[in-house]
Amino acid sequence: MRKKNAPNPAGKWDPANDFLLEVSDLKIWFETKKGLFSGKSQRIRAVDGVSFSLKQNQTLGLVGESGCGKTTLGRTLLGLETASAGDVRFRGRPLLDLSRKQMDQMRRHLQVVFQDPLSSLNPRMNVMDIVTEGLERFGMLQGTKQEHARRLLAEVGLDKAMIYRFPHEFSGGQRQRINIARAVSLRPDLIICDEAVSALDVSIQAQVINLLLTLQETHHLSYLFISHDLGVVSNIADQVAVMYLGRIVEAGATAQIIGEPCHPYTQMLIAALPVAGQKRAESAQVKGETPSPADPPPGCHFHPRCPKAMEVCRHTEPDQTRLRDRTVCCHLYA
Amino acid sequence: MKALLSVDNLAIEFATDEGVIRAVDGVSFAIRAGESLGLVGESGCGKSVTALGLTRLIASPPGRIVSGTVDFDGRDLLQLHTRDLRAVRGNEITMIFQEPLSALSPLHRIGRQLTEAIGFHHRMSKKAARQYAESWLQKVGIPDAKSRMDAYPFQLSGGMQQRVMIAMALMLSPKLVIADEPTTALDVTTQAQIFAMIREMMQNQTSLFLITHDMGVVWEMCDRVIVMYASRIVETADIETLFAAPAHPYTRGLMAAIPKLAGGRNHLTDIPGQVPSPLDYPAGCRFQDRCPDVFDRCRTQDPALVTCGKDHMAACFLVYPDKGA
Repeated sequence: MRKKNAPNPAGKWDPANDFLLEVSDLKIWFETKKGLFSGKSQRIRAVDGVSFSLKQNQTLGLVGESGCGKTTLGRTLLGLETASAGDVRFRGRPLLDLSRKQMDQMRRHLQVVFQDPLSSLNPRMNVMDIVTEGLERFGMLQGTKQEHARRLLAEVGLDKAMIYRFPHEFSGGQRQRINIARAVSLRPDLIICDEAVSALDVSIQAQVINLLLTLQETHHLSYLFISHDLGVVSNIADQVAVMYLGRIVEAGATAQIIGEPCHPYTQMLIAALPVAGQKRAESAQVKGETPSPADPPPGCHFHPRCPKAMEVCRHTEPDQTRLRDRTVCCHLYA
Repeated sequence: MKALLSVDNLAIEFATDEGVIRAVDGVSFAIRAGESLGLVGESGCGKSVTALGLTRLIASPPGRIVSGTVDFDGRDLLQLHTRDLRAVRGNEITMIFQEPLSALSPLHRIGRQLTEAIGFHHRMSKKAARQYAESWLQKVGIPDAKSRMDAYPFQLSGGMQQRVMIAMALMLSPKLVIADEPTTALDVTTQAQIFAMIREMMQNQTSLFLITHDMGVVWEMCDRVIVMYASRIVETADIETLFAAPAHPYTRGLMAAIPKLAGGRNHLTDIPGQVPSPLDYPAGCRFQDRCPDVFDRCRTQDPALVTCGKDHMAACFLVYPDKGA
């Protein structure tokens, strides 16, 4: 059935004032077996009570190191993992309770760009079929398939003549442009970018970041930009949330968080970043390794590595505190 | 300063289905004793192949070292008998790779792998070798080194595996360590610790040849830098000069494209276009199609590396005394 200008399924959601995405106390736990033959299972709290919200035409950068749960969080919003608890509202509707069919409909508004541009493109489909597949599915094709595909390619800075080529014929940066073209083809409200520029060389990475920014300006998109790279995130996100072992430890406006980090982990992350041209940082500020999410330390998860750890941090989990322009999860500010 | 290793006109080719690729095309440089030299460039520029070529670690076929000399302490490594070269590798010249898990044997315990390397190059009793290896695990900051000797690589975290690699690379007091993207697979906080450790361990006794795509890493670790683009060296300078006054338009573009810590949406200065295919390098300067300062001469003639300052060379007609006239 053709559904041009499909009615807003939420009905009462107001893009100008309401949050596009609201995540409240989201928990995603995995049960894994302890050993091959052991009957015992253990619970991995990949995401452990995360809340944030995102408005239209805004970008939230989700930063953290490997194993912090940032990717799991993104996948859950897409319906690729199952949440254990919590609530997610997207366009005013609860996202977690949607049936498969409803979720399929919702995907028109919620798209994704993954890290590896090649493995997310079907090698047997040409570019035209790749970028118009969703359009055909939702009956949103304008003009012929060729015309629409050419428009999309032009929009992401690819040669319009390339519509009959296959993914392997492109370079890494071009492939990511194809992924982006597919993601924007349905004019979604939100695109989840999971390490979308991490595999690209610096000069190409800058091109793709610029493309994402330009597309946002034209289409008033929102991005949930998941990345380990604070430098990249700080150039693309209006708001930043820093994750450590399944929790958001600090969140606020990018300029404030980068300029004046409050949480000791954010401070460590920024100090560890090698910045060309600046005085070499004293790496002594960094100690320890991220513990396994299967066996996080009690109290504040960061306390074994924290230079400012106090007695209370060892046994009591810090609450989220509102601090001037941000939220921080740290006993120092309680 | 005396050169520990000097490379002259190194060229390496690979045979592929589509034709012969010249991955390294006439590269010359020197590593001085005790210095830390960085080699930066984007994927496919030939930086890793250059590093592997120094100790002939290029699989042949499909690879082939076409020309050049690699003078290391008075010996040409490219002509050395395999037996003699083995005595150099892992002893006088050691390597740290990006993925410790694929560089370490998955089937042998850490301790065995370390003691084997010691036994290969030095006469030492098994017990003494074990003790020596264990002391190095401690030095590189592996907690509980004694029991870790009996661990298999997969039982360690990525950061710990890389520490084992570093112990292996440094324990025999090499003259040169070649590190190819040693921290690219690691988190930044782990990277900072690994770098602090490499710096401390080397203490100017050992030369470091660090291959990376990350300008920030070069800045942290190196005294001097080589920039490669499309199989060739386009610029070389000491670290301060390179960052303060990059001479080649590619280097300038690369610096501008690095996302700096900023506060929100910020269009970056990118380098338009993409790296030409090694199967189809253009005549003249290989950066011409992406260069903001391109002019006629760049399209027909190859710019050679010329001196443009103290210890500073660039392969661009703009730095030529005659400005390419």
